[in-house]
Amino acid sequence: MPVFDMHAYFGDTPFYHGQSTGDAILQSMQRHGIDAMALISALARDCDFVRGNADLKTILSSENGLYGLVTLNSDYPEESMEQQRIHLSRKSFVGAVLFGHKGRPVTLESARSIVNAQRRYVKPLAIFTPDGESVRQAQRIAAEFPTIKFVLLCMGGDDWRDAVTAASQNLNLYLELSGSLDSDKIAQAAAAVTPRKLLYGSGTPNWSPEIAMAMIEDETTLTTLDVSRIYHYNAAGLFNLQGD
Amino acid sequence: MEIEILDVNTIFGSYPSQHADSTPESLVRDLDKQFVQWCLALSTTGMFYDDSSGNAETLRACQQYPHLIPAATFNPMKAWKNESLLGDLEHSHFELVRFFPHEQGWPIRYLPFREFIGTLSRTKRTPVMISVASPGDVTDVVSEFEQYPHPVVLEGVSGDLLSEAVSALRQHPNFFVETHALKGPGTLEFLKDRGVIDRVLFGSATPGWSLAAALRFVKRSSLSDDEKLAVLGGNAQRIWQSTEGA
Repeated sequence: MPVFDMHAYFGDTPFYHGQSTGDAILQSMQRHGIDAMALISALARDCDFVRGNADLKTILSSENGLYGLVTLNSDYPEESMEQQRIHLSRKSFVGAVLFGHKGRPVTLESARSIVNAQRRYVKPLAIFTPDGESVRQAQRIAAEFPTIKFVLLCMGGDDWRDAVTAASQNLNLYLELSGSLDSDKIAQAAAAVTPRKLLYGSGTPNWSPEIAMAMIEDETTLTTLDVSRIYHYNAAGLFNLQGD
Repeated sequence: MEIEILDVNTIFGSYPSQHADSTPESLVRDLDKQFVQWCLALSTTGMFYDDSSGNAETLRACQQYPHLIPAATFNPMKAWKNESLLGDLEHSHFELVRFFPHEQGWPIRYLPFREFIGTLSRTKRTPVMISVASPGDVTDVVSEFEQYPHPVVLEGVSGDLLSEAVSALRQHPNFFVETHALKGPGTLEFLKDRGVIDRVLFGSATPGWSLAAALRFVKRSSLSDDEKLAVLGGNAQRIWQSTEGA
């Protein structure tokens, strides 16, 4: 069964170097049975989004299943729109991503101009949502821009019920399954929004790719078709990868 | 690989905010499904509401289900209410005492807690497990348990706390780390490289957290088969089946 990991980082950690180069990432993918990844630059997430996106571009290879998400920064709207213009026309960048900073979530007010610009590229926008407040803010953004598809990365963390509620109210919201190990999460999310709105993501190298896999494969309410959708087909449709 | 798995971190009972209620029966069912032979179990009543009645529930459940090993808890904010706990520990079959400073809202550096640990250290050999969540917590635990002669298990060590935990394990041979909050690839290998893999204990925090995910994290690591066996059960067996007994 093909596996697309839609939440992985290009970067190092003190404990694991398997995401630090393109070759290391390919080896890591092989080890965990992952066919493709949507990579985010850790440098772009934590510090310099312009340089991080440029570094990430150098390792992307759609032939090898290495896709990217362009990191945008709502504190730098002009620079972010420039990043959209530079990178989002490339096939290897399949979408964009926004992170909050200093404990502040991404808000509609701070991100409006960037999200508005995202409409031109017809590619989804992921928003990092580690808690309930970030989910509520992302839901406001999704409601204002119904033609854009949004992915809630980490689906609210321990507040995953808020993310499930948001996705059941907004058809343009998808849920990425890393973020909490709660054993009820996947069954309740699948029942509320259908497995078609769920996406496998690992959060590696902060989380092992095996963790979300175990939760998906251990969930007895999912059919084999559901699992294949979560692992691959939903992402292929969302990121328009059918021809790849 | 023949594995006898011992999960040092399980609970049963009502969970006020996160999870559907579980029972000792459902806990045993979950463990059977994943081939976990033994677990240290604790009633959530003791964790969230009242330690005395929770401990009594735990003992009753463990008498009914022999694969559940009883863990007691103590809330130092209510120390005046449970002065008999030390006597209970002497005369009952609790194999572990657990502490939940974050869930119960008390600091690790706390006089009633220090007093209880001082007394506990003079009773029979009692391993303890305490939850940690933020940088500095492990350092505080080391301070409070500096003189404690029995095993001390750090529960909730995540990647952010790993360096601090390794320092504690290197300085104190009676300190151990429980695994449920270790999620990053390479973290078990990091503990191996630092020479402390023999003091890593498998814990899942099931049923709230996924037992399957916790197990797969260990089984799919790069540790050798012998090291996986040790983490999943062997290291814990050395504590709880030692000749001293608990």
